Amino acid sequence: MTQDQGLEKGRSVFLEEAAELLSDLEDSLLELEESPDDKELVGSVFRAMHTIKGSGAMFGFDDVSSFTHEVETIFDKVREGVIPVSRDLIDLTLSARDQIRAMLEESQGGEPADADMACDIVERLRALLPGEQASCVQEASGDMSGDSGSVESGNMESEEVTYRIRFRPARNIFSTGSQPVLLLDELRELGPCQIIAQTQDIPALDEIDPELCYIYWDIVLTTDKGLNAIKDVFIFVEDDSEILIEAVDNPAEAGREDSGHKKIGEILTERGDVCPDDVEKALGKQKRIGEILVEEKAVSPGQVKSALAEQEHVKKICEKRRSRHAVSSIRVASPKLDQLVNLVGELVTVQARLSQMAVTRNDSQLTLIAEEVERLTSELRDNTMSIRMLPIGTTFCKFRRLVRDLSQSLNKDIVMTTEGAETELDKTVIEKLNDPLVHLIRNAIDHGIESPDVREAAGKPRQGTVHLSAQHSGASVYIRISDDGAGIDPDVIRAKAVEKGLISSDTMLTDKDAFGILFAPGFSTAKKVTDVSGRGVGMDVVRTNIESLRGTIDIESELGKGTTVTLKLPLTLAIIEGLLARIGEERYVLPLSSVEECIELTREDASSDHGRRLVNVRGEIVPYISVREQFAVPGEPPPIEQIVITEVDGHRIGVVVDEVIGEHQTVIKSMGRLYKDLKEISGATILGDGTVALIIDLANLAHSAAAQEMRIN
Amino acid sequence: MEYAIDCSINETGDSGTVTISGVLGVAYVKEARNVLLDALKQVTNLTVDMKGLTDADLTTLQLFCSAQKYCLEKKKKILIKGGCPEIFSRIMDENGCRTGVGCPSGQEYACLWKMSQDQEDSHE
Repeated sequence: MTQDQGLEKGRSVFLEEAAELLSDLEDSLLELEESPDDKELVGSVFRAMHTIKGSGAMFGFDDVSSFTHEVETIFDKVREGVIPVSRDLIDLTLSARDQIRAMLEESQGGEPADADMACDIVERLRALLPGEQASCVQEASGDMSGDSGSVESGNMESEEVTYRIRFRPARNIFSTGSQPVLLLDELRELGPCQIIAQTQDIPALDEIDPELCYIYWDIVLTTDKGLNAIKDVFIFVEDDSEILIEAVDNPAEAGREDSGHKKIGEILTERGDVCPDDVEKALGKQKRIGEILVEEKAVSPGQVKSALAEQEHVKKICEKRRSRHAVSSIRVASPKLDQLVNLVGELVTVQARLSQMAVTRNDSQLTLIAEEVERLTSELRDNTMSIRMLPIGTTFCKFRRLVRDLSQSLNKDIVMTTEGAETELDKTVIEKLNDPLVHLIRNAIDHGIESPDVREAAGKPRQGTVHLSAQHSGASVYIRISDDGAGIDPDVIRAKAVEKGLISSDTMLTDKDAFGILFAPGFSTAKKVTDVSGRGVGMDVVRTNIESLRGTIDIESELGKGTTVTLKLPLTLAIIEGLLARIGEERYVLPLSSVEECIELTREDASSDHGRRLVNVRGEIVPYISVREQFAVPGEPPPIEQIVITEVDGHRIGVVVDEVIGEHQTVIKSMGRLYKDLKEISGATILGDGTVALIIDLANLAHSAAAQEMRIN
Repeated sequence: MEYAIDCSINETGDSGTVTISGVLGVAYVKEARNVLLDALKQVTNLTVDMKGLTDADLTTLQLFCSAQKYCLEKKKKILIKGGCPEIFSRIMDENGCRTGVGCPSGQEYACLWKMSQDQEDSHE
């Protein structure tokens, strides 16, 4: 790789990292607004800015670096407690974060970032500083080049370094009122540490002055707080005490990790407990070095114990670091992952062919191999799918800003809460879920949650809540968007639907059916159109998007209490568990997650319902659809057909097929643009014998059957 | 509870008991040292009863380590009645003291706290 290629690669990695950092930064700022006293959050905002600044400068994003430097400087003052966390500060820093993103987008060929806006943000940030501080910051920010050192020191701050500390307090420490134990406690707060009190200097009873301290301490401490934090612990005793602090394990030192752990002799020599000659002599004997040195009274057992503790501590820290590095992620371009999934899909198809061939040939050797391949393919498939799984929380976090900004612009007080953010979904599902969720949240904020005064008058808290939750259930994930707003009035929907001619005035609709009208194209009950919502172009798009993910959407609402929209989504889009069925010579796949049971349909049963296509399933009347008729499959149906009872949009619907073959691992292949109007088919899959089976879109099949029925009637 | 220390020697004069109660810290550690040293000069076996001890600090721990060192040198025996008191376990933990560390090498039961605990366990 040439130097230019290396720089280009570095720039692209920086852009990816910066995008992540900006996303984290937004989360931290929103959290900080709620917990302004949280020092850790202030630190994380500072560190994000610091990293963007440092890495930006390294890869030639000088404008980003110098702008970020200004914000970082302000947050440094926040860290020091000079500037309090305020709404203004959060607003400005969020704007700064957007500005950085715009600058980065500009560097990738996007719209030019607004330079005036950048200046305005910087000026307003500086205005937050007390007078004297502001001029200092202005002077300091004039010379960006001189700050490269601080980038380094900032990085050092976040690195965990292991220190060896020897603390030998003044003999009279007890009489000064200082208690060594308090200092030790402060050290413990800095990070994991091993403390060994050395008591060998305590004299015998006839020689001791018991008011003096004869004990000293060897401490091994791992901390990311830096050397100064350790020195601060001893600040009040340092003049009279012997305090030695040295780094014994610093990941920043090249090659340190590979050099292994220090030997006991090395540690003792470094500490000055033994001279190198004694170590050399002891090494000549076939015993443990510690034992030999103790036998020869070169060191005390306590000193050896302390050296062993240091060795063990450093070893553990190194192992922890190594394992942390080992499990840390690597970046892979999404197309590569998609390609991997495609290949696994092909493999699953070929494996199905192999299994079928083994059964057909009745060859035990081949069957054995086919079974082994099946097991491996299954593991590979699960692993590959798990790589594509992402926690939904990454999406939830984005909406906090949306809720904040929208509620501000609508003069409402709304908080967003989340639950189940760790629930994982396929990357593609998550990506496609963004727009529908944005729309549903906008609706909740604009139409659902009332203004604070209205809420108060209704006996509700002034602050409204939008709650996002995610929950696994079998092969599906339920995502719920709830609000504690005014709820939806089904009578208003009915009246509006009659007005728009969607239903006749005498149509009886349940509340659930009435809520379903909200998904009709162009339908809106909003009294006024705002820039947030109300044009009626959203909910039908939401449903289309959700259904394109093979998901369903459901609304529950109680007037005055609030609304919950539930999205049911499949875990993955690439491979599904299907139920393979035959109709004539064709094979079809029904998504198994929608299948409830299978029952028989005889010709007598079919003729007894007088064409109404209803079947009695243990006392419940269930409508059914004949796929043969719907798809005009040629030939006569068998005397006994099968009805696959499915659940579509909360209703039970039967799907009639000639024969149910069984469960099938279905690798979904898209149908291509020519078939884009074929709504009843969501895709195709290749079977073990090489033939193609079509995957039925149950919701659309039900819709088109219902529409056909209405046309006939 | 007020600090109190008391020493009793048995009739044969070879063993004795020092009873300490209340809070023993830097304020009384010198007095406690003198009582212990006097007792150990008189007897071969000294039992220290600290059941009434309500609090102590690092000076107390240091004092008993010192007493043990003296006993090892003079071939005498000091034992804590009832094993290592809870208070001392806490002080040892807080201060990073470990049984056996810093004790004279090459001697069985060089650590007073370990010895007292082991003997208590064997009585149980």
